[in-house]
Amino acid sequence: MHWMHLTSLALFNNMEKFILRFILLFKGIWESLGVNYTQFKIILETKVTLDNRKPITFKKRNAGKSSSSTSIIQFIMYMIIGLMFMVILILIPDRYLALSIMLLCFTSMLSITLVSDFSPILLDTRDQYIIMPKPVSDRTVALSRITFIAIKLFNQIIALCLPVVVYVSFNWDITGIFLLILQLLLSTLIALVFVNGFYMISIKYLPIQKFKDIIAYIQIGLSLIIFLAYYLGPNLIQTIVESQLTIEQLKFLWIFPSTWIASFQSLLQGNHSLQSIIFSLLGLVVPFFGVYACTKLFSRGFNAKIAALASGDTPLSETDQAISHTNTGRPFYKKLGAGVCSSPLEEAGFSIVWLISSKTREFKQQLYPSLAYLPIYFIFLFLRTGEGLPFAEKLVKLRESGLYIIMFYLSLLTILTVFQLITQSNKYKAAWIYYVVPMDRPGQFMTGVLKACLIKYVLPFNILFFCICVPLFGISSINDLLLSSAVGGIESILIMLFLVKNYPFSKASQSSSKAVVNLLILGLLGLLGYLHKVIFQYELLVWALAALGWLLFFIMLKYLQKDDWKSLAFDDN
Amino acid sequence: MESTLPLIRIIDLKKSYGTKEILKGINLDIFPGQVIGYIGPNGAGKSTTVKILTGLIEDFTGQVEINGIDIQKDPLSIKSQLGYVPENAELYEVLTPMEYLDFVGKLYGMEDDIIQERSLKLLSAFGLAANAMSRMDTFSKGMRQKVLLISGIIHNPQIIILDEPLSGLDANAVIFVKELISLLAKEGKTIFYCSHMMDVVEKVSDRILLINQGSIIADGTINELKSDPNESLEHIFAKLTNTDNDALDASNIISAIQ
Repeated sequence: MHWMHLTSLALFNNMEKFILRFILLFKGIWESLGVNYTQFKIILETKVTLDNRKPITFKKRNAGKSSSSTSIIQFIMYMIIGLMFMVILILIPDRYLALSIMLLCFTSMLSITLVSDFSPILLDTRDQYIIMPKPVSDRTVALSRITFIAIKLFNQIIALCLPVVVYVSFNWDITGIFLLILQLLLSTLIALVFVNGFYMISIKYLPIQKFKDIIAYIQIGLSLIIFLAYYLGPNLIQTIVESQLTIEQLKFLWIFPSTWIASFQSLLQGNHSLQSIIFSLLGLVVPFFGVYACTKLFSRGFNAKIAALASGDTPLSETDQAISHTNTGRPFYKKLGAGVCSSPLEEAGFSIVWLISSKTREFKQQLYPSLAYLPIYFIFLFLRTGEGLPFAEKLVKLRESGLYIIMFYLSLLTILTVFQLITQSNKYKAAWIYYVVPMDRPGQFMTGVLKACLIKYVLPFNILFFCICVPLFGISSINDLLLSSAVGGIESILIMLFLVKNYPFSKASQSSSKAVVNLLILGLLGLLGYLHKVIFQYELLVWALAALGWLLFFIMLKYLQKDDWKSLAFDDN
Repeated sequence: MESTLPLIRIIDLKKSYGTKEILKGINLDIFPGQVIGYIGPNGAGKSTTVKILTGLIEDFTGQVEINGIDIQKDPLSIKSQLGYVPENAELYEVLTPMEYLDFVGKLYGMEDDIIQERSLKLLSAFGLAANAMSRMDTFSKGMRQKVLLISGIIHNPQIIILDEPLSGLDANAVIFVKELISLLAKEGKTIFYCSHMMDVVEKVSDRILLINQGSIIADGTINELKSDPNESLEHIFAKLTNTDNDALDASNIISAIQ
């Protein structure tokens, strides 16, 4: 009874459960499909509950305490994206063009989230171990799986479309509204066909490990696209509105199915040109043809392959590469570690961070997006400085204003991200080893950790800046780079001392949100960057400060080695 | 043997969590070369004892000395003499055995050459030479357990504490590890063996300690513990720990599912 009460309460803030209730109403239909309704019901209810408690992928994993409102948070996030779609419709006066762009965004957004969010469901191995051994028919398993995906999908579509539909229902006539809903459904079909195609191609040609990697990179790509859209979207829309562009002029839009689907509205508004008619026909036929092609291809063989993928027992390969590896002597990271570290303990810290950060998918998944923002910032900065000026004058302007220095300081933000990620891991339980060994000087170990982070994630940026800035802005930018990197070094030691409270990869998640601290550091870096920009023309002063900064960095490094790291003590749980 | 000084000396060891007393005064002397079978029901205080011995829990009352060193005064020098593999221990699976052992060895402060040499030798002795350079996420449970065992002895410790070391190992590997334990004992290593597998404990240990509800209730060789020659350790265990009336009775289960 207690449980029943809880679910009915949760229903109010849980869309997925609501959709599930609705689906479960059609008991007869499900049974006529050959499903054991009782099993079907409990499998779906359990899956929805599990899904609601799993940590959110966009946020850091908080495996420690499971969430109980994941669905609602995700729903709101999608709705915010839906609001952006609405803005497109509001801003672009040409309904045909607005819809083309909006539907293109909708379809691509849906496709990408489908791939990234639904792959774990498709590849979920737990079904194999928990449901398959029970007397549940294949049909029930397959249908409950598909239905679960459908529930999630509808949840997402409703969230994405809600703002647009609400806006439209106040501003368009009734036929337009119904047509829009039809168009949204067709676009969903297109996205499904597209995702299906993606799966079929990748599974056919890629080994499972690579496949999972690709999904990770798609997730990274997704966050980049959102970021780019945020920066460039308003500019683009402004350009489109100001120059009164139409579909006829934007020929590249013609190749997208979303444009074909959008042309229904143009037909409705009385534009009976040949182009509109052909596009509309295409828009109507292509989604269904795609579904037909997929169901033909999405055959038993494909399902079996997915099941084989999910079982996850990758056979152990006898690696011949292993033998050749032994002969080549010490690997690169060890030579590097031995070069920069002064004791085995320090080397241990160096190598664990170096190795695990390059081998763990989840780590890369969380770090790379924040690294990839940097080039985008750089391009943005470059585009925005002296808009409309020719290239050479732009360069002069950048050099004279010292704006490029801002880039150096922006790159220092990565240090913060790296150090926040470095203590977390899915495999945090493997950290028992730190408490068993005689860790007499934890400071040494953590210094190794610091050195690995700096060499791996900060040094490359500085080398890159060096290669870019010296040819573009001249030798005089060297001292600026030296000063900013010294600031970065000092920053990283301070972060290490005050914010890093655990051994590397030893925590399930960030225990508390550090948003305030992050903002503080951000502000501080901004301030330092600004001060640097103010003095950057006094070359000697910059040189002196750089020397001072580096001296301070090395002194602090010595201090870090001696710190006793009380915070790393064993927590008996 | 009894004439030498004890390697591990535990005097009136007590530990409580809140009001719950987990260890109620344990007294023990353990001598070099002994293989101690440490058994007891779940929640008896076994893992708490092990955590205290390995320096993980530092606040307790009583005294624990290893090699004459008080563990509360100098836990680090004691840790360096210990080799410990926890039960169901995890390791960084994305690493290769060589990388992992290199990491562990360096945490023990060992030099690179020695780690390399020993890891290679140990890995091939455990039959893992071909997999020395492949990531452990492809390994079976038994293979991972072998790597963990290696990581527990790579620094040549005086005392080896093993918690369910045979889990996941196949029958051949079990024989191999049992052999290894007796060889290590012959080398003068002291082995502290915790397990629920009574038949193995009976075979490998030359002294059995039975802990129940925070106190040691039996201490001796298997022959000393037996009241009649046909009795197995399993029986002794059941007899000594199932004192309550609500002891588990399997026949209740049968009647429940009928």
